[in-house]
Amino acid sequence: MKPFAQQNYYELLEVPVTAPMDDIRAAYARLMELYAPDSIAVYALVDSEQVDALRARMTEAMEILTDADLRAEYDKDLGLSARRLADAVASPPSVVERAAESLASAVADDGRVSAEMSSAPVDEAPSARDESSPSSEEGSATRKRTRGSASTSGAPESLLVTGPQDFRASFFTGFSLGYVTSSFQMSPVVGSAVDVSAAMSRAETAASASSADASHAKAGDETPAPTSGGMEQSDASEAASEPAARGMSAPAGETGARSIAPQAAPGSEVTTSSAPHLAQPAAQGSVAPEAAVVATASRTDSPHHVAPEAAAVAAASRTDSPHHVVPEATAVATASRPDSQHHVAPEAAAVATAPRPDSQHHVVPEVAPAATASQAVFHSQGAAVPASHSGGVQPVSPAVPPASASVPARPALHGDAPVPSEVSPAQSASEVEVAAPTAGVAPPPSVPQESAAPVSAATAQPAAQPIPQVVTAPPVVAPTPAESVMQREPVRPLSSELALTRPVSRPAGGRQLGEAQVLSQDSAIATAEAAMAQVASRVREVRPRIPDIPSDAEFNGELLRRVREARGYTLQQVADRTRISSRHLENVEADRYPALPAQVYLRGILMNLARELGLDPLRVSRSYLALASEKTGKK
Amino acid sequence: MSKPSRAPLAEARALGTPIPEARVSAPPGLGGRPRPKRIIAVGGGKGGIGKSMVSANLGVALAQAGMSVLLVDADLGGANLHTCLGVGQPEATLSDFLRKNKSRLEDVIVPTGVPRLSLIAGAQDALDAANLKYAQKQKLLKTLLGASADYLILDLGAGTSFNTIDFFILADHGLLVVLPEPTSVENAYRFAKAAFFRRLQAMEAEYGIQDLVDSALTTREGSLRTLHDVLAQVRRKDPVGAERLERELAAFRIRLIVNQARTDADLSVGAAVASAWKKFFGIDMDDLGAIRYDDEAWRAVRKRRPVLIERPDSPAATAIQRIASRLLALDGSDTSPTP
Repeated sequence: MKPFAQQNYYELLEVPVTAPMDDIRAAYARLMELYAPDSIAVYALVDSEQVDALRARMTEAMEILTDADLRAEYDKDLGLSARRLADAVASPPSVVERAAESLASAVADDGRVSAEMSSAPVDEAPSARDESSPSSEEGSATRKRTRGSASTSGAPESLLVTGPQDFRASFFTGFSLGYVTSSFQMSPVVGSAVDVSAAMSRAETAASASSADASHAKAGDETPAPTSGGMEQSDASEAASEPAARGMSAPAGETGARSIAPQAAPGSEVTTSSAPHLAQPAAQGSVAPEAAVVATASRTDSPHHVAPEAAAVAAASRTDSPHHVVPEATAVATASRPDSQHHVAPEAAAVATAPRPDSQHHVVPEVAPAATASQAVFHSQGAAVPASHSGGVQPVSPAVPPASASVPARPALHGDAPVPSEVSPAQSASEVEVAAPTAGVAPPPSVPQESAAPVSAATAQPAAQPIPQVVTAPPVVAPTPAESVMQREPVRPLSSELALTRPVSRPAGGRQLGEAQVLSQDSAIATAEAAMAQVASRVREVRPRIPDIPSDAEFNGELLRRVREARGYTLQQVADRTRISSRHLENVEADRYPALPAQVYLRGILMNLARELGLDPLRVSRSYLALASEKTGKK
Repeated sequence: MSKPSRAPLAEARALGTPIPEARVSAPPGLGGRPRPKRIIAVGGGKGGIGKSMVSANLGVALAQAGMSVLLVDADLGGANLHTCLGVGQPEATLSDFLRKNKSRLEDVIVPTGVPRLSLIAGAQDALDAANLKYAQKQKLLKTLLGASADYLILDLGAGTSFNTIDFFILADHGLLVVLPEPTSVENAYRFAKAAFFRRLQAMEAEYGIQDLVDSALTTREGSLRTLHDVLAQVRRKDPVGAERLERELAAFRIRLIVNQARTDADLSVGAAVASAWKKFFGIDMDDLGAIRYDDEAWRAVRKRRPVLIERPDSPAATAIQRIASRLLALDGSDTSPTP
């Protein structure tokens, strides 16, 4: 029993959190009709003022959810940053920004998660890995099947898409409740990812083969299971104890379905061609990055997968054409290209790492981007050092930074392991089927110890040529790495991971291995926050840091004024930028509640103002409105 | 129950089954006493909205589906279910039972001419029958619970008096009949709210939260208008009790039937009402479907025959059959009868 006043905007409008804007508008229109004052359904049900209040709230919900930016903010507030992907698609222009935001939010989430479950993650992570590894192997196929047997998605791509989304969904939903579940889901996701790649590789065969080989190889084994990917989503959704997860996954699945076939081809492309993506539609690219980010953020383990998947997903949702897929891949790669994007990508990777207790996972994500973006692995099969691989391999300079980022992360992770750099790649590879690409990279460099390493090596080779070998090898490797990872995990402190993250997030991009370790001291949360802040500041305009505001601060006019002054804005500047009349702003800052417009408008004003000041719009508006209603005695 | 009646348990046990198929395996804990598998109460608050028509035809539909059905005209002040079924003036009615010259429920059960469908007609002669005394009501409730049939259908009267509401909340399926008209919807909401509040009161003793609910209900200060308010109030004092209360309330589901839908828009009134109800009260309401306005139904009433028998292929008849099958499906999917 939840009174409408306590429902969030999505519940209020009775739409899933992934609902496209058109659906939201339609739902709004339908509900406004249902709750029209002369509607028979509400006649004598409640007081007319209650109906009015409901209508006002629905209008507010519609206004916020149909504004891409506001919705993004709102989602962030709800912890639904994953959904932003859809938005990004909708509005190409602000892709980069979005990506940054999503990263930031993801980071934040991760940070939270890690903080909350610092203890849990370790156990889970291992488990997740275990699962993933089996899945990657022969077992992977079965697993996927079992889980996703129901799912019908024919195209591997769709699978991929769903996978990431599920992943995300599960992550987001699960981070608070069942970490275990999420991890569980994740593992399937990974499997799906692999499958997808495999499928793609097959479809692509030629070119893609080389690039994707590693991934494919792994996937290859699972290729049969590609469908399973779709299933996974279904499973995930089913399994997902939380509704949110389901909702998200479902939509994901849909998108995936749409862009099924075309993607396969793109998939290979993804692996290989990141550069084209850049050129390609920004929107797609943006989407991809976001997805990647999300994935990474949410999952350490599957980040790689996610990234590719995300890309695929994005593409899928977008258009069927392979390009889209490519863009996605690009997305990852892309990130590296544009400066801002680069940052984002690395950050994302970093983020993922940071949050995760399992350094490996984190590492993986990072690696993945590098691998995918540059696919250096394929090209430079023999690249000994992962970092070098990515750098050398990738034609695009931007790619290099990410790669480097990933590299540092690895070392950190590996820190425990004998050979840091090598190990990490191997791990990542093994961990994530996706890793396949990564693995390819890693292989040469990777230390023999890690089964993954060998595998990766194998993959790399295959990359150049036939897939089959690679395929087999990867699976094998995967399991082992997982194990190793598991062992390591306990050993490794989160801090090390965090450290990794940090460097990544830094614009500098190419970090050295040593650095990462140095950075390791910070807490995951701190890292995440830092990364987030950086992303945000990067992507958006440069903005002075917000003065310290206690988390429980009440945003009255005085505080808003102080923040504004701390930013060095005059009232008029803010008024000009926000297009809110300075009279209103004055009244807001002076807490002249009676002089302020109706709540619906006031909320808009507050949210715009808060955004302009770099504050959390929802928090500000909520806090301020609470004060206002308290003072005015209205209930 | 409290009344020193001549209807002791033995009677209930001996309750005849007018219909052979009526043997129902007794749920454990009831001492082997026969008991209706499901009780359906048909209410609606407003008069003239087709409660009796729905009850009668639903009974026919369920009987035709192979269930043994006992229709009870609980509209004590304005009984006419027998008319809907074309039974004519029954020799024995509920008032005979209540006034003790027929002390056994089976003595007042009359056949309807439809296989497996029997009827307990409403009070005819007793002009004060509508004003049931508490003890009489308890006796009736208890005896009805002991009746043996697959389905016991209670056709309630208009209004929201306790005599009506208590029968409604007794039911497994509280069917709420509404017309797509403001007057009817208004009364339906009132009826539903009254039912929930009555349910609250019935539960409060059980949960030892009597004071809480009472004080919540009587708080004049901005009088508590919704169940949310009540629950919030209760929660403030007893979070655990409030949670149980909430669960109980959520378990009690009202199922809507829109009658006399004349337009396509009317067909969706049930969904709209359920949606609005949930939005404001957070309680699920099921929309069982709409019955089209149908002259055949009206003609059937004129002929004093259930439309389901008179014109089984008419829109109204098919709609009722659909509703009956939906109820059967609901019961089929959940096998634990509510006590």
